[in-house]
Amino acid sequence: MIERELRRDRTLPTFITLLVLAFLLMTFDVRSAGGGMGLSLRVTAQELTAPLQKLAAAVIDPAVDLIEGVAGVAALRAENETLRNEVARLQGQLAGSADDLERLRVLEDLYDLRLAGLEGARTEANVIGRPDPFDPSLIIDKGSQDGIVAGQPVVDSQGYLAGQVVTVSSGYATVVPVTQSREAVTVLARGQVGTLQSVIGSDEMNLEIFDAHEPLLPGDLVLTSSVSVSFPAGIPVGEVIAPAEMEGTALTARVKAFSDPERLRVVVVLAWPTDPSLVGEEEPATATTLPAATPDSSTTLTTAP
Amino acid sequence: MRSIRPLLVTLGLSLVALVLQATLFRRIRFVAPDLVMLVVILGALWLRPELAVIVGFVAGLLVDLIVAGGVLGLRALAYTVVAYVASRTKNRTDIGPWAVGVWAALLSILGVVVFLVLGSLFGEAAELGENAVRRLIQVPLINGILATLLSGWVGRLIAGRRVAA
Repeated sequence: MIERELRRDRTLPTFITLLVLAFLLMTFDVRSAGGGMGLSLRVTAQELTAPLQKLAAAVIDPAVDLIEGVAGVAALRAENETLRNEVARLQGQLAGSADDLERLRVLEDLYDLRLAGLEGARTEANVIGRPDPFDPSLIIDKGSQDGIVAGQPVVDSQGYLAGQVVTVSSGYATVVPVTQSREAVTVLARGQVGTLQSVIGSDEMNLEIFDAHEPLLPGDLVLTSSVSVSFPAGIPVGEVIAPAEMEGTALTARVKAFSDPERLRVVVVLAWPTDPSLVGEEEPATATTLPAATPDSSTTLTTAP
Repeated sequence: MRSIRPLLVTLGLSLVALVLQATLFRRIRFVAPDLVMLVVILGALWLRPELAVIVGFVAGLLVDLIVAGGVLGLRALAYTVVAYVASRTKNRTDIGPWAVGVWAALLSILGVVVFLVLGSLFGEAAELGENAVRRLIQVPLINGILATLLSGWVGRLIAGRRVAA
């Protein structure tokens, strides 16, 4: 009787079969670099689960907001007072900056500044899910039917570089934040072109410049470079957080990204490049981005070559 | 023919767990359970062992498909191992809900270790570093607590009758 039960127990063969199947899947997925059949399966799974996530997010997000709001009333009062003082101080500064603005307008005319090519379509999307608390990828509620394609850059509501679209289904897409991406971003800091690479398990990034001509200091702005084939030029990425001295002509700096993937609720997907021939244009002599409250008002000023 | 209801209910719970993981626990950042692994573990209490490992594989594969940066099959393998060990050791939970919690926490450690080891071998490098330590501490701890609280309820759903917690 016991022998018959043991003979009927197919757990071990099932277990071994599934292990082999999982190993095969992993091998194929790694060999195909996330493409091929795996990509099709991922798109299908996203199509099936994203509506549920959107529905759940529509219920859960307001509830969590409410709880966070109630819990944070005391902190909000103190913050409100601080902000009032800050507003008063900034109003004073604003009054003094009118003259600077006029001077800027004259200088723009003088040096024939032009707006860089960020005029393409922008698609605002809500972040509706994050499948794994330790995995940085985010699911947004816009997809190919909204004009989104894999590889498009994503900025946050402040206009800071947030990441890149990696997979797209008809109504949804997955975004990998720039701080966790395996691909380096070509950037510009103090007029020097370098590569910005995420650091495993950290929200800081490493900036490497191989043809440096001056050191970097904390607070130095890091922008996407026009040399980049993945991102339009002039998007603020982050700032240098520690002094970086030159070693020969090379330089390595630590950079803190402006965009925090943990707090992303709304993102903007940029339809870029609008004209593929624009990619790889000559690096402008200078590039300055004026960070703004909304991406729509984020303006990149570049000196005409 | 035995009923397939427990199998379908467990798979349905895995889907619900995945949706909650992606939405609720995206907002509550200081609590990081692995709800799908928890469903796989608790499902093993009530499912036949061969069904439990199938549920582990399918649920893991579902998570793999949703996580963009992950390696397809990695969680499927980790959850299958967890489900197999869970189905072989479930008699250790007979003494009460606290035993279920400790058992679920230990199995979660196993699942996280398998995930991290295979993840580093197959290039899911983002899982290493600080994230690995957080995952090793938080997932078993939260899964253990949730298992203690939810085992009776999950058992009722899967078994379709009132069961001792």
